[in-house]
Amino acid sequence: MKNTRTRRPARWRKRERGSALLLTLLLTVVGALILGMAVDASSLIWARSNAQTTANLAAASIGLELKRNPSASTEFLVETARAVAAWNGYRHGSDSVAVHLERQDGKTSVLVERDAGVYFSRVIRPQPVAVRARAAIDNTLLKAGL
Amino acid sequence: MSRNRSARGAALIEFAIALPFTLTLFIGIGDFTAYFWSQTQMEEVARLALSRIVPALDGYASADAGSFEKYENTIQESLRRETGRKELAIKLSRHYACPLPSGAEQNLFTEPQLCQGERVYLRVASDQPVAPLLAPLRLIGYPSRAFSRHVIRIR
Repeated sequence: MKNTRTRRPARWRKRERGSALLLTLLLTVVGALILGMAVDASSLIWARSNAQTTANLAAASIGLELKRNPSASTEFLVETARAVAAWNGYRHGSDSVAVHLERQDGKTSVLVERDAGVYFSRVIRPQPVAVRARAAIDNTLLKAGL
Repeated sequence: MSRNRSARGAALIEFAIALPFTLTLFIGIGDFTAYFWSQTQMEEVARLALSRIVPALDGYASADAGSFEKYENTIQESLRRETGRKELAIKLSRHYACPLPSGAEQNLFTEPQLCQGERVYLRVASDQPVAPLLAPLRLIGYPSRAFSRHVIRIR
């Protein structure tokens, strides 16, 4: 059987030499970037979810305190939020964690902040990414659950 | 002819060498995905458990050991039904803390400390065994359980 494949001229083959290497290098870099961003995005979502749970728990604890003692001082409520957050792994003042009580438009809420661990995006953005979660304190929280 | 045959043989050997590594990589990715999925589910389960507990926190603070265990079993059964996870384990425990003059707390105790202004916390733990396909390869060291732990102040 006759070989029907055409042979390319030698100068073409010479020009193509090394292109596979370049292409592999380019694809590896792009692939690693995409993979790194996926890992960082997952890490951020995970951190955000944990911070939200912590904020919810702190808000529920404050709601309970207010139900028991409606005239509880702001200092005591802040201390309650910080204690609950600390037992859930968010100790105020350490590891870039901040737990605050916010009062806006007559509504009180717990704000939990932490710098999330990003690993690969540091190449593009060296600053840490802050993750914030807020949970409102109201009576419906206690009636309907978290 | 003989060169073609030897090249074919070399490709077969390369394939045979690469296959176990590739399979381990892909199954490993699947195993870790399943583990992280279970872990996320445990977080969700803990949230569901807390939503059951929050409306009756006072009751959890004052309940005796027998009633406390009954609450635990009721929540576990209801969450097993709701999530379809038969091996799900929910553990509730009360912890006690004595505040320092600054208001900060340093330790959680499992027994009441009877100190002034004692705080009572409820710890909700959810556990679920995970069975990765690569578990027999002990070198990889897969976690055997997905779990979550949350603490809420009840008094």
